[in-house]
Amino acid sequence: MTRLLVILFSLLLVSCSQKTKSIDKDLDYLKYIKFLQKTDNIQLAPALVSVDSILFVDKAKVSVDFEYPNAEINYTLNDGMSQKYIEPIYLDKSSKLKFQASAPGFKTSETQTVQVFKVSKRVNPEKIKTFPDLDETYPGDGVESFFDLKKGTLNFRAGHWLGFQSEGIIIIVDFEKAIPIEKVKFSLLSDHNAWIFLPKSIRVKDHDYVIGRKDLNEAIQNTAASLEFVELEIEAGVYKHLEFFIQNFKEIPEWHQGKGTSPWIFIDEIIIE
Amino acid sequence: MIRRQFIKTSSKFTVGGLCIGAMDSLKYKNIEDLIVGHNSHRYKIDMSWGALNATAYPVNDCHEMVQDSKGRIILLTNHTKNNVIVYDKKGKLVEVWGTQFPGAHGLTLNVENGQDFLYISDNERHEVIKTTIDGKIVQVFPYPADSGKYKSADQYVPTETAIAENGDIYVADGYGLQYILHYNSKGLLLNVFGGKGIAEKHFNNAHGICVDKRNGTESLLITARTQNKLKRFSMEGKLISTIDLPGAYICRPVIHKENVYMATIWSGDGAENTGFVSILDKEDKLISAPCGSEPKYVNGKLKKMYQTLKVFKHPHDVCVDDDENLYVAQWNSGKTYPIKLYRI
Repeated sequence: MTRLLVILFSLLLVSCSQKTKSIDKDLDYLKYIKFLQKTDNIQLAPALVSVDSILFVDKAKVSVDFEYPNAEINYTLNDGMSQKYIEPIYLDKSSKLKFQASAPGFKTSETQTVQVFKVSKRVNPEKIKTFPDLDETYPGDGVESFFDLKKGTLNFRAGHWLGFQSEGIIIIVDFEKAIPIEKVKFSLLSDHNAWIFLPKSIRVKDHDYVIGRKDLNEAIQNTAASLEFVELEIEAGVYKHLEFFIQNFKEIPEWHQGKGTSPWIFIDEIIIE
Repeated sequence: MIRRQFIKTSSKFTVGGLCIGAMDSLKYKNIEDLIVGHNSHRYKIDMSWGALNATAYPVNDCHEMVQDSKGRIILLTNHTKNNVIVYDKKGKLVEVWGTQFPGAHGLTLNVENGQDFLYISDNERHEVIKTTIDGKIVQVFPYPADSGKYKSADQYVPTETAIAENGDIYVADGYGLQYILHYNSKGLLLNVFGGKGIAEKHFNNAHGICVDKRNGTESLLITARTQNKLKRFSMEGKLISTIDLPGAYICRPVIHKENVYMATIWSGDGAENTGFVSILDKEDKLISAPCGSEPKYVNGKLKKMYQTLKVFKHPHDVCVDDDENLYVAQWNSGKTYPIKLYRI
């Protein structure tokens, strides 16, 4: 009899605990719905920012489109004073712009950061080879995409991006003539929701000799998709042959739903200064 | 119609006769006063429609919704505890069924000899399953090995079906090799067209398909989601025309009266959580985009669309009921239940 009572009591406890979990889940959902009942908890989306050329030789034009009643767009240039966006912005230097949309009665949009980079000139390598070969789904516009000054967007599906899902990537570049180089920038995408992460390290070699290296930290939490640049100081010199070794993290971090699988690396441009 | 009149009247009352068309955001604070959409198609939002006990009736992705002949709203989710959730229009649970559709994705309702049937495209089973309205399986369209286009079943990932007047079935392989497969009602493969590619007759993500009978003859409307295009084909598989919708990643076309409704899962440059709803008029021009930017045509071309209000994350399908209200099912949106939009 006692044994039966213990079993019944245990069953009751399990049942109560399951019910509590269920109620908690439902309460969370109801809270979420209640939260969105107030329009000032509804957030404006970021404005549509268009840049004619994120990588430019002369100047870049930045235009913003966001039409919503009473909304305005404010921006900062290189973290300066906030100002109202009225018309397209022309830039002749490398710059960082931050945009936010606001309207009375709604939560202000997330800050949208856009960077443009002035490059001294476009380089045209004679040969470009990758190991592994380009991915069939994300081949960009071929290996030439690395040096075409065409920037990809936050949409990894929409061209220009070369995607790799391997532990290491090697890009070998030969120029027709030796060119002076002191800096290399990698233009990369970080989009944790799409399982795209920044690499662990990048090394630049001239044949067997390492002339530049950058190590990066592993992402510790999910962040919004962003366009990233990783800059490497190169041992200043004149180079005809370069090898880029991009080391991927072995696995997606523990906190991510894709933990244990290989992250993607997305590159759209290698800028040689 | 009575309900629409009521909502119109009540909305005027709510804002005290202020010009709601001007959308002065200072004049409302609660979501029930907010109006989204443009021109003839404007809506109020009900975030709590269809919310259920998530332990008893869980959802993963809410993929698609249809209204049956009894007026009930049917939701398809890829949660195998209850793949099909049946609601009344108020969002009250009627019944659930279905445990064998792990990749439940596409849901099409067709009335055959006065009886409702459902066509479920399952992208994990790699097949289309036809069921009665209460879940009895009556026909399976397996992986089309005899088409000569596929090496293995996993290359075939059907996302949607459309049924012609004569009972022929068109299946869009939207996550596979992008072919459109044309069967007769007995399941015999008659034709294959489309396929992945950059030519106008090809697709990148042929995600949704429907039969358009608005001008009196049948044609197919098929979304090329990643290309931001809606493509019209003849029933024989010839490309007729293309409708450009820049910035709108449209999932499937749903025709109701003279309009085409499409959940738009991403927008702008295609970033995550940027969805809205797209509504075309009888000329296939975008006239309203609830929670998106106001559609504007310059020299006949639609300006690039983008999200304005973060009400939706990833809208995946729109069901239009007989009161002209919309039910929006969402993919990858925190396991939330559909959102209802009341037309005003």
